Amino acid sequence: MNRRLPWMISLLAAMSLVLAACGGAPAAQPTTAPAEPATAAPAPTAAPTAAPTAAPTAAAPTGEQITLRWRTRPDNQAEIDVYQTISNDLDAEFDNVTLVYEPGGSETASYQDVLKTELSAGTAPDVFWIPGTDIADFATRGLILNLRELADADSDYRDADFYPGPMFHLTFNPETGKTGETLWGLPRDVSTFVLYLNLDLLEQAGAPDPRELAREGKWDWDAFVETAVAVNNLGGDIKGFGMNAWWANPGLFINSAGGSFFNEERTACALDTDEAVEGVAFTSRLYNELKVAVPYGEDSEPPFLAGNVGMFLNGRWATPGMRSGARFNWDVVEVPAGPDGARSWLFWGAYVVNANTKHPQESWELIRALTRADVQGKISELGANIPSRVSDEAIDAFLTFTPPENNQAFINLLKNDPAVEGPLWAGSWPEFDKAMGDKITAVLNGDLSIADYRATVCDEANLAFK
Amino acid sequence: MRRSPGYRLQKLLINAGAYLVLAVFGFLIIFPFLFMFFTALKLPTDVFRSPPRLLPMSPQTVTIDGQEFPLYLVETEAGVERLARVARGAPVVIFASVEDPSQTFERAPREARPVGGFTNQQTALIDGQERKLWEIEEAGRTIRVFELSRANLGRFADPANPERTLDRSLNDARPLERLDPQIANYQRVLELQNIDRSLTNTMLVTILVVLGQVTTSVLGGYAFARLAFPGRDSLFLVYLGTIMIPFVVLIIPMYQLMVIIGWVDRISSLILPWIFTAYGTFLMRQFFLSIPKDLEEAALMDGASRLRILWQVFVPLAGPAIATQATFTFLYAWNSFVWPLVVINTGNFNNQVLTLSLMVLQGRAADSPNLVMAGTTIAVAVPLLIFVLAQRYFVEGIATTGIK
Amino acid sequence: MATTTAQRPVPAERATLIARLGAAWQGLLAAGLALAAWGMSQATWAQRDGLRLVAVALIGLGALSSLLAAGLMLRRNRRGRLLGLALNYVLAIGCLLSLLGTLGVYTGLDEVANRFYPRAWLLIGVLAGFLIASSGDRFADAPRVQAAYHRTGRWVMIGSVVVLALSMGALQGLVTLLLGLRQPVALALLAGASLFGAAFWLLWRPQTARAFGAGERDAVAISGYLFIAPNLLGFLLFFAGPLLFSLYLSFTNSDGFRAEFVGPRNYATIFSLEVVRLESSSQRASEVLSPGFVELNRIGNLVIGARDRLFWIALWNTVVYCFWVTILSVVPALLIATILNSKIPGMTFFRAIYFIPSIAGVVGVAVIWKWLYNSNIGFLNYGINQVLGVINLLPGVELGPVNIPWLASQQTALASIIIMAAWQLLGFNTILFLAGLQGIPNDVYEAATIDGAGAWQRFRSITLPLLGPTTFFVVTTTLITTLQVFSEPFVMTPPPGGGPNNATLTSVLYLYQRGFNRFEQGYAAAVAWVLFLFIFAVTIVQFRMQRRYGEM
Repeated sequence: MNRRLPWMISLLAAMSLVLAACGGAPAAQPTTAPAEPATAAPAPTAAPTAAPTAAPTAAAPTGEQITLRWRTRPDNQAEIDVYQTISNDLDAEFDNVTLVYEPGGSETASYQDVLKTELSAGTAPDVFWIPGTDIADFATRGLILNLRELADADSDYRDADFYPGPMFHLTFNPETGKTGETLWGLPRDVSTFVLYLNLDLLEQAGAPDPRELAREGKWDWDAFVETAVAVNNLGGDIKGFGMNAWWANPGLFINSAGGSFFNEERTACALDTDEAVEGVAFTSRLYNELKVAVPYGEDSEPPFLAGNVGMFLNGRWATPGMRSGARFNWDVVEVPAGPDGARSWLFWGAYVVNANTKHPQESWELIRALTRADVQGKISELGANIPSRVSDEAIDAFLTFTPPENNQAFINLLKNDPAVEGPLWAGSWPEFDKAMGDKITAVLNGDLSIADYRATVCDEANLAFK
Repeated sequence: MRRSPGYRLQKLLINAGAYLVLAVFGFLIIFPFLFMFFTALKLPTDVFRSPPRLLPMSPQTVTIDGQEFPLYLVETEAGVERLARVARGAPVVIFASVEDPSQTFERAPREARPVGGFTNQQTALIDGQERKLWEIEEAGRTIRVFELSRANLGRFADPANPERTLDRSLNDARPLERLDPQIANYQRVLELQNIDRSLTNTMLVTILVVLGQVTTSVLGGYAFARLAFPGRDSLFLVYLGTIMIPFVVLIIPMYQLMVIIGWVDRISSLILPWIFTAYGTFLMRQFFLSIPKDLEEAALMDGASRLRILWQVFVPLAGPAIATQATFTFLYAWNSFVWPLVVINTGNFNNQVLTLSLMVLQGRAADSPNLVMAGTTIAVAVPLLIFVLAQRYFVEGIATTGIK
Repeated sequence: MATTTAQRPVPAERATLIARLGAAWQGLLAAGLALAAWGMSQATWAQRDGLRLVAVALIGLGALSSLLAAGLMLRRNRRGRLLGLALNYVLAIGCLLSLLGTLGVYTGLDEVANRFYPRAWLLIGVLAGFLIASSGDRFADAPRVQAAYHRTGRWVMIGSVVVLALSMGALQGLVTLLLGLRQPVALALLAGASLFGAAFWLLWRPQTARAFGAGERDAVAISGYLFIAPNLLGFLLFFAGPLLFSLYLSFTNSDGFRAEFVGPRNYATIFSLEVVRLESSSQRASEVLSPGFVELNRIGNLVIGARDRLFWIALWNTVVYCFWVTILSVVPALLIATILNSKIPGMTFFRAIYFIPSIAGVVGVAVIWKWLYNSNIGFLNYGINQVLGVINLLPGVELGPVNIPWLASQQTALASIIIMAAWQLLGFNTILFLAGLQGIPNDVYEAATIDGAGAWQRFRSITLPLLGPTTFFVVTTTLITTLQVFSEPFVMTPPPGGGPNNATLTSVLYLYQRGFNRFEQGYAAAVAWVLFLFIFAVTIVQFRMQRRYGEM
């Protein structure tokens, strides 16, 4: 009887053997590169104790050939293909370096969250792209490398090659509070907000053509409201205007009214100033008084593509979707001028270097190459963004990437002192974003009066500052 | 028992009512899947539509002089005709004069100005109806008018005789369309996101997790049910307690553990930690408790080992309980989402599972819901097929265990 | 454990010898482990010092218990043997598992997936075998035919699995595995595994048992431990360990990179609530609340303030969600199950239909519903308007078209997610109820019918009470799953999730946001523990109530 108990153990062994039988084979053959956590060891000082599992990985030959992993947040396959091509081309250019491009998850798949998780685990890639708002968070946590020394050693490099807005933050030193002292990364691209227009709807509504108004300098908030109301009057499911629910959309109106999210030093909430409140009040008018907008919080792109929305506020990245999905005549126009003029956003994101990379020099060379004019041209040809280099050449090339016909609108806004998407060095941007977003959503959904908004918005938003 | 006609009528009515309720609920249950299935077959230009439409259609076209034009059914003097629309519709508004409503004018919308602007357009009571006022230019003077009707005029041509053209309101013309399922969407989504690879990965993970969980919980359940060992009952209580622990409590430390043992981004992290289950052990224990002790004692008398008793007496009897647990585990493993999201690199297509792929696909193809739905269809189809084939075991497994 | 062979007592000298040998081995082991612990305490592990300390502690504990076992064995105490068995077992399994790791078996699963990918269609063979076997059930009156079907089906299944395994290179895998044993580390681990295995075996032998005077109770206990061991080890490694670690984290300010012990501060922040009275209703709450506190709610002039407002909002949302989903998925499920239980034809078809959402998976379903919910071009508003159109045909009814911004409005966002979740759970609960209903014997109903009970009366006085245990089970599982809701709001409302003005912010989603979006992992761990205690309390209440309603 008892004698058969060891069956128990045999069963366990058998189970493992079955697994092993299938799994043992690969130990000999190196699997495809991306799966190998080349940077798996948490730090260069990692002792030999890094667990036995690391043993069988086919160790890359030391010395000459090194592997650099880099990652972006692509929105579609076309974008992945372009980055892959770029990676392959640069790989051929670089001796001794094998480039591995990883398309990261989209925004909905928590790109930044995954990245931070991997950074904390030591499995993140060497070079990666992050949105401008996240720079401070990554930099103050010490997750990304200060590239200033490498840049100073690089004679070809100048900060002034890129738009100054992003560079202000990319060279900000959180310890001294001064700009120009560090270098956290290089901007990949920029984009502005424009209004996408359903020209057919505008014509049917009898509304004047916003592009002409813009040319004549009459494209202001009043004209914008008139147009939205005119389209909305068509009735049924037709809406005059639509925008998506994130900080930049109401932010656009706050900026155009002369307001700002923060005070000048970006150390406190300024959402309760007269100007900022005026921007929100104007937006609220569209939603609650005139009721000409797609409900705030609803994705406005599907109804716009269905031909139900006259004007849709969005960035350059929406262009590829318009090209493939719209069944009507469409174009873009500058955002309307508020009391403080037509002030759009300057959106940007940057390539940064993992603080724990083993190859800082090569990583620097990689991000230099990724922000070269020709490489940026290839990316902006896709239609999703604008090169981040200040160069007439790049802009001329960009203007030819139609539709939309009126590409000039993006550039006009870029030149008209746009508000720069910016990280929050003195506090937590996600926290601020959340507090602000909640309040503004409540206003736009008609659940909070402007007076109450004004009285309470900074109470919570100011908690985001340390 | 004799049944009266009245009884039979009553029975019939009850049955009809039952079917009605079931059918209504059934429709509500199934509709989202129909939507998914049909959207997956649509053209990109057919996806966004107002009002929405279920079936994938594409416009019928006709070629005139080497150019393709869409066909419409148009009402003309000669009756309803099939005509090609050769030019886009220009909108036209019919206005009537405020002073003399019988006097009408045809204008393009932009030729009329709203009195007082669109936002505060003035109105007037005309024939007892509140009408918005417009101004138009007519013969050199500005007159006030109100809107009678508006239409989008399209230029139509007879495909047989392209010379004959006429302008008709697009609102009254019905576009001719045909059913046009785009099977190629599936092809595209496979290229886009390697859904097939995610599918086989999910299958592999699910199979191994189900096998592993059933094995460990049969063993553990037997121990808890039949073998008295010191600390058994308190251990069992601990097990019970852990059923209630939300998984999120563990995400962070589990991820750290995976880093230490080098399983980040590995398939093994999706399988091995998940083959131990308190819930399954609990289920098995409850079932084994209901098996009479005599069966086992007789076997023990014959000198059978515990393992053999388990294998030859308990497992055959536990068929339904195992089926139940396998069902639960299957659903759990197939649909697990948070953990793969955290532990598998979204750029690593080789080790993705379906839920993760779908999530990424949803972001990557945000502007092409037809592709997202094609991916979802693939993700749903396989468990559906398994379910249809093994329905009996799924359902009756649960039924006969009686969930005790 | 009952034995059929007669128990021969072990001669005294032999027993003493066995005990001394055992004690010697345990002593040796204790020395070895102590040495290992000392060695490890001297080593430096970059960044993972905490882990090293835990390892030292564990190995030290092992050494101590081995010493204890040796001592007990010398005195021929049977507990010494049990302890020795446990130690050797754990060490043997540990060596074996590390051996598998060294041989690359775990990471090799990736390669298994690679090879499975082009050959997954071979599983059709399994399916075919399954179908053959189950189609044999139709020949219940001809047992031999049935048996033949079953046999054929079984062999087809086994055959296709074997073909699959072979074509995936199982044999080559085995060979590589054996070749891998040539590595010195692997050899050492193999030796360790064999050594501890042998020690285990020697200690376990009936002869040894008798030498220590262990009775049948020990035998049963040992087999009990052995049966529970795989489960328990996995449980400790992948559940209890991480759980304790998260408990530790909850007392730190860990941001995933650095962690400082801060005591119960996180918990204090979560539970910081205060109630203050406003002088007049026009006064601002911020004027009366302490710094750091934000208004959570107000009753009349009483303002409730909280340091972590979102935690409470999330908890409230979760409770609302949980309540409504439970109601909406349990009550209709009971109704449908009752109808399905009547013996009218076509029920299996409907049963299958209702089950489909449960197998479709939350992510897929959420993706679909997101489109249905679109207020402008979604089918839901369109469908409602169509129905309203039909209702409007009735004279005197004039219902305007609706345009509900389902996911966009603070008022409807949570309801939207509730509807979807209830829709998804409905089928599953129906099946569970159906199972319960089928367990109620038919003659009970017949007797009641003869007594003249109507359908409703029968339902109330027979079905409901007899369905008690099932209802309990259904409600409990629904509660536990809904209290942990995450994927639905995460997928359906734009990142980072939470919907308009936190309308769909649930506790787990909040935890995820704090832990992975803002990376305050210490705080998130504290939230997790509070949530766990809450769920635990709910379940306890549930169990109490169940006891009142009798046995489950």
